[in-house]
Amino acid sequence: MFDLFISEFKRYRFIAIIFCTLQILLWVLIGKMTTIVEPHDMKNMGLIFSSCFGGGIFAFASMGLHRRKNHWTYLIHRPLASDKIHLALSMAGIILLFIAFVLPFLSVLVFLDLFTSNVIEARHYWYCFHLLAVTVSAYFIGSFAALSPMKGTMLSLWLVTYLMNTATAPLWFELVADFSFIVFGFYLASKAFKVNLQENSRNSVAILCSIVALQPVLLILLMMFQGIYYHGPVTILGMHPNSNTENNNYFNFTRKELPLQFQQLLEINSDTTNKSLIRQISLSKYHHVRRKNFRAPFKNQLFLKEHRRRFALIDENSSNLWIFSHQQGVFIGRNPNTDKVVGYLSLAGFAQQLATIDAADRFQTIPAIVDFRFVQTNDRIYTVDFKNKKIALKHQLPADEYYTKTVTFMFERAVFQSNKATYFIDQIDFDNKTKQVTAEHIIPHPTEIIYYDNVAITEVLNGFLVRYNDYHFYGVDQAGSALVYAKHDGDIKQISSYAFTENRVPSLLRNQPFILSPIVMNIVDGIVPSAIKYSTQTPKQYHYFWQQQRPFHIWLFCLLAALFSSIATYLLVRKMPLSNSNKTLWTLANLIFALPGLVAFLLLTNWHHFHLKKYRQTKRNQQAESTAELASVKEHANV
Amino acid sequence: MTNYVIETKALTKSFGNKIALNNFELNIPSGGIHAFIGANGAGKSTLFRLLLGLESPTSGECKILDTPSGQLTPELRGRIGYVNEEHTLPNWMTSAEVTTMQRNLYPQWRQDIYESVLGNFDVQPDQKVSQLSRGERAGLNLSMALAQAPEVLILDEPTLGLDVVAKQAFLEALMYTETDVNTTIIYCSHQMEEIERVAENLIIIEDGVVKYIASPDDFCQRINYWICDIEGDTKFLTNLSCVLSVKLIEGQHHIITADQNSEHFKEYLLTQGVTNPILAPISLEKAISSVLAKNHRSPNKAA
Amino acid sequence: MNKTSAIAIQIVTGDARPIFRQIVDGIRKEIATGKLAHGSKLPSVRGLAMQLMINANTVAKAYGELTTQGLLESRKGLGIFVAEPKQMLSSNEQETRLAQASQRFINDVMYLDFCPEQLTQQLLNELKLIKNK
Repeated sequence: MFDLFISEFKRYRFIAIIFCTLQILLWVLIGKMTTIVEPHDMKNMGLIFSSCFGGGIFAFASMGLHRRKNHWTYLIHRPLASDKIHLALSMAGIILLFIAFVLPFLSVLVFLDLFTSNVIEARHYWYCFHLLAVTVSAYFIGSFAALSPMKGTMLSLWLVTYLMNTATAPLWFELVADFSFIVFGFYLASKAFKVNLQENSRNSVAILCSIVALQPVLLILLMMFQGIYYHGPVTILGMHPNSNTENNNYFNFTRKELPLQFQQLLEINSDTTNKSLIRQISLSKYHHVRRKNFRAPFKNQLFLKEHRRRFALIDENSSNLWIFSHQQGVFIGRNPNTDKVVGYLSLAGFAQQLATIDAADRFQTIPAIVDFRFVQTNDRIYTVDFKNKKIALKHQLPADEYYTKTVTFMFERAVFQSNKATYFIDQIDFDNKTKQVTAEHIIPHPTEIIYYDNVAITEVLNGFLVRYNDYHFYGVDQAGSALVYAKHDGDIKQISSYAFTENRVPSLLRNQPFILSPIVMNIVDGIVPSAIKYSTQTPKQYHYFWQQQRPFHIWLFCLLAALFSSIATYLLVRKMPLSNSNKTLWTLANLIFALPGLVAFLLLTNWHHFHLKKYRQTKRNQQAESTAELASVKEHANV
Repeated sequence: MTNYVIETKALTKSFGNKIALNNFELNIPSGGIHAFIGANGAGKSTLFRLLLGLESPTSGECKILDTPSGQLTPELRGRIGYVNEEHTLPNWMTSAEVTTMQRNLYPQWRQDIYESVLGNFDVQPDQKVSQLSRGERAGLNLSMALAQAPEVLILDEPTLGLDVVAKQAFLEALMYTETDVNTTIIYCSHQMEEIERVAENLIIIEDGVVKYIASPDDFCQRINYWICDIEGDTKFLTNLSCVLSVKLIEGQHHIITADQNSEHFKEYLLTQGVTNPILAPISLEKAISSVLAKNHRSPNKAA
Repeated sequence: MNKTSAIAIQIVTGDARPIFRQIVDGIRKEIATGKLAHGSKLPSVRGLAMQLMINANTVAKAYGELTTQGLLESRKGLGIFVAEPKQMLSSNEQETRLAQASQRFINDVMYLDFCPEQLTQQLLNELKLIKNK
């Protein structure tokens, strides 16, 4: 087995080294132009994409070369078990991919760590491990697709998009996810690596894993199918709901101009105040609360997933950059030109020596850097005064709250949100570097929802009008909008709220991610951040099907889809030469996997060999011919 | 009952509408060199792939070394050698490295056999496999296959593309290496000269079926070559199942029959008004090609 | 005698006669013409096979046939030797063999342009040659 490992390694060693060298040269070039350790979308995507594609392409190339008839015979026909053969090839593959896609960046980091004063710590090295996990998982999943007899398994390559996701997550989660993908991928590849490549696996677990591997992409394909059976025909007939602007549904509402939205909400109650407000808002300006959700970084989170704007605090008087060290819990100031450490910043203020900073003064959680000048944790905001070398607590949330949106400046106020309320603070107070502020208005959210789709604000004579829109305002698939009036005198009241009862498209076409795969994809997408962002992302509290209140006909559809898939599978599987346990497995599995499971069955088995009448007829005819011929030869031959 | 090294029962393999092996029945006892003869596409390569467990049959079963092919263990694979015309070897390694890798896999490796066989070919240990000529690669491949001392050795057109010297060396090594194990050799070829020299048993395959199994001289005795004059219709001949071919050459009819008593056939010809039927000698090559060509369209076929 | 005598026969592929038969006929001719003396040692099966570049089993089969016909004999541990001439067949069998051989001869020469007298003369000449050796 070791010989085989060395043999496979030697085969691609040269190419791997070339890749490594080229990338190192590329990083040297990048290093001359910018700071290497500064997070940037392009760097993250570039590294992740190249690792992913590299792993996948290498899988197809190497397994494709091995798969050729005579080469496969040479590889497999030897006194060594096929799983040991695969293990040897995999080990070689991992080392080669490490050299080609991880070693370059790792070398750069090690160099910066040893020879510069850049902050390089665990989270940087964990990123390299993540790269390795990405490329190795892509390699295994690619091997699975390359070795499987059914071409449908190519679709499982979609799984690598989960590896490419840019959402930040706690380190333990990333590692568990990475590790799971490696193990899952290895298992799929190992089971696909059989002596007889034309045969489908009979192992129940392997079959289940291959069904799971296809679920995400099949869900998307099934969802896209509505373009064919609904959107297409409806557009051709000129009846597409997008063109129906009269309908009072959420889709049309949100596309109205903001003044009209506010007006519609104000017109619900014919209050006299409302009439006056309607007049006022026709002339006023509108602003939105920040679209992007805020979350403080996780300890040791993969450094390239951070946003570029959160890289460092910038001292406007000098060119120093202050970068937060997860390990030390303080900001480390560094002059990029002289490569010297200029100081440390903790909760207690600035210091010249790291050792002098007490543990109690260090940040207990990882702060984010907002707008290059604010230091924001989940429940506190600090401002830093570089000139006077001071750090001051600006704002603090009560115990059970955390920030959900960072500050936007509008109407001479600083506006941000927590999970429970919207905060308005006087802008001048907020900009002041030393004063801790109290909020002018704290407007509680109208519902339990933590992140709203869209919050718009306008100023009227006596206060602010805040409009909340969400697709799942009152519950899953129950869109709504609410309007709250926060008066400058402190009075806060909800003017109106509206539950949209009409919908743009029929309910069976909305929320297809749920109804097409209520059990499996619902759970998968809940656990692993999905690379596909649906436009109507359900809020966390409604995410799993046991948390959701849906109309009866939706549940009925789910049940019928599951039964249909299971029964269809049963009918197709009956005539196939599978073992009884495999037949039962498929039938029961598709009760849980529902429609995507049925499609997986059609893709992963050669059911059509046993069900197309024409094929069976031809075969019977041919057999009849040849038996007759055989009989005549046997008469005369002395066999 | 003798132990068969290779057994097939109603072995059928089809690819879509094409049937490669059709109720193939074959039992090969251990020992000796058995030649498989058949046209391209007759099903030989498919048979080997099925025997080695690389593909599964559409129906029927096949066994090698008394084990169903789908259940071959690594240990059993170590006792089965396989060489084909591509002589596929990792071409980025040197011949010494390839040999070492092979040697470490087979516990019963015979280094003396390896060296004596390889001595017939000009292969340097530090030469990369990619630099070897086809003949040298074939020699290396065969040396390793024989050094494994396999119980069954399957060779699928191993001398294809080899020059005269390499071919000679290859055949000598194959026939005269003594491996202590009673190796059963399956030899596939199209080259009659080789077959005549090497085979003690002929297995003729066509259209996925075994047509004949016999030793070369037994087989030759079963095929008769007649030359005669026929006036009038020859239709009576084309309907006979024992007639393999009828050719008109310069006014005379040349008829080849299989498994037909020559006395009876001569009488039959005479009753049909055929004049002067003469039995001519026929070489093994001609006999085999007549059998295989029976169903092919022949340009001189009598009307 | 321990020294192995050489068998100077040649086999031809593509001939009407199978190789097995060529060896049998070749050795018989060598014995009949006296080139292989009675009691001389033949090459081993393997040795002759290597000389002729053919399968050893075919040679073994040929030796076996010749031994059955009484032309060769196997001495345990020593090898294969040309047997002393002794008649193993009954007179009926001899006559049958003669008839068969004659028929084969006639089949072979039927299409040649010789009259029976010429054929007879040729036979007598060949026999005379053997007798002289």
